[in-house]
Amino acid sequence: MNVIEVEGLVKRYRRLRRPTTLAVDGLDLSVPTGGVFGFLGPNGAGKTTTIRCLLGLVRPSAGSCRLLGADSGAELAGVAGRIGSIVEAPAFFPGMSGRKNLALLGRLEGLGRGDVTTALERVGLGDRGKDRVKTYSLGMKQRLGIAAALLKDPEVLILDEPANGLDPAGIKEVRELLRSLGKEGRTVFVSSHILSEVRQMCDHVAILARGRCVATGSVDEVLHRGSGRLVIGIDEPGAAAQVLRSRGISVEVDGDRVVVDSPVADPKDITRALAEKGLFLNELHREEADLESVFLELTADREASG
Amino acid sequence: MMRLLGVELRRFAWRRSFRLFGLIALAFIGLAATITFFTSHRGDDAAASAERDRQQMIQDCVDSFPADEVPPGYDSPEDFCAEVGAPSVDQVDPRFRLTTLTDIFGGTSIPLIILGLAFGASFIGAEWHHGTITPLLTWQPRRVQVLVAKALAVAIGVVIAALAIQAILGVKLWFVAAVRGTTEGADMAWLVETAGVAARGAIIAGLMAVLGFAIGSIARNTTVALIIGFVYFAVAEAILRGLKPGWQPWLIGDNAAAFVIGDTAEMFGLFRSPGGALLVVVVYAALALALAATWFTARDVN
Repeated sequence: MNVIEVEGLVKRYRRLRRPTTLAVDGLDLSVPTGGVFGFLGPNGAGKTTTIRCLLGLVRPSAGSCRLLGADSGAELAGVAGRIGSIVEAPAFFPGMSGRKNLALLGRLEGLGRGDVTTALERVGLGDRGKDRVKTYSLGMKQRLGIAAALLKDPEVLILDEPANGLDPAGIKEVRELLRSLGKEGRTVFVSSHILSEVRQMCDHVAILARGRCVATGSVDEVLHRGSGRLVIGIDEPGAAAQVLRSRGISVEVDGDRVVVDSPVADPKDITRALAEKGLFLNELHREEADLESVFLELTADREASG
Repeated sequence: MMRLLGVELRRFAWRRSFRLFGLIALAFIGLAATITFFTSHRGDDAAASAERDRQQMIQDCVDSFPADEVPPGYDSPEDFCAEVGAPSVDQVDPRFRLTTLTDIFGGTSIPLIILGLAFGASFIGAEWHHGTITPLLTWQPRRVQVLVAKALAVAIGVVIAALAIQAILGVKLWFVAAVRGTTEGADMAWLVETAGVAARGAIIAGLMAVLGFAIGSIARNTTVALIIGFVYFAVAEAILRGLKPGWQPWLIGDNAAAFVIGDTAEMFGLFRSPGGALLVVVVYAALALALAATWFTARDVN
């Protein structure tokens, strides 16, 4: 069963004296139950707007969003108690303590002091809970936001850039926390632009560009969409490049290596072609695609076609 | 809904501006009671002397009348001079008279009503300013319930605060009157009338809080809401009162004032009872809240 189902989601913002902005452009997305799902995209790709639509904060111009089977527009109240979320920067009353802020939210679900204490301790704010939020650093506010999201002990966590403002130690803690939540069987839907974090943390990923999903699947599946160029180590790279080009294979010479750009090139064809001309390889491997290059490649394609 | 209302009441009570206002109000009440304590002069001699002076002023006034002339509307020059030609007993009495508390409550209702409007506007304006409406709606997506609970909380909070302030002021001034002034005339009828003025002032303050809240909710900003409130009550109603006197019975300010005073006959003739004046203000507050709820439901929360 999919926890999140988005079909044909479109969101246009009409503003006075300004052109209409198309924030989300026919997005389709399915998030399976359990694990950590990364929602990647450059700034302005429509990640936060999608999350706002999911949480019923923004009304879609077209399409539908379902969370835990409930329509985000009309039926969300029935499942809101099972969802924890952060949308953009966590918002709190600065004049109240972190504990009071959480207590106010917790009372909506009948949660008591013990639940607040547990949530604060889980994000490392146990000893700062009584301090006013306005004395918190950006990272502490982010932690408090995560504590608020965890307060309900939710089945689904929807977190918009949860690592924003955190120092490296904090990012690591949050990553481990989210991974552990995913392993507990909860569904963690996390938007981010920190690709290394997503790779280390997520089981599945969707990449968004200009309001559309350009790739989705497990992290490995998405990585394999990358170029995965073949790298050839050879004593005569110039001659090897000439042979391969004569066979219609696009290559580049990079020092003592030849890089085959075409992702469809078969290593067997390459070794055979070179051997026939008396050129023998020192090395042949497929360059491992990293998420960053896949992300840039996919989002650049979309930008260019858009 | 009750849980939501409880949360909002708690938030209202926890607000720093509310607590600060409470402290300032207590300080003012203490200062007013202290000044009254020291300016009130107890003693039959002082009261008798003031009364003698008053009688002399009445006599001087009567003497200034031609022998057989009686002012229109009065039975005798003595009646006219007792009412118009000399200050009232309350004014000349150097003792603080507890019976003046009725007028004092009428006077304190005005700042309480203005503060009610401001608290209502800032209660929702602060939510938009700090962005806390977003996490709240992810916990409770039923927007109409959220808005109504907030409006009820601010109305209840303001009414209770206004009553508490009036009560503290009343107790302090009662103490001053008992020790350094006089409680003469402060019988049960007076108590009922005075408590009525205080209660009516608190009710109107609560309704104004709902109006301020509704404007603040539509504007999504405290300052804009306060400017709208000021422009309406201080400018628009004054202009309407001058240009369209026939509309006076439908103005919020006039009905609110009439209800607090408890004497609508003076303002509207026999046209409207105090209950009718209250109903007019309630209808305006309810309409504003309904408009705010419709607006809140229809608009995106970004």
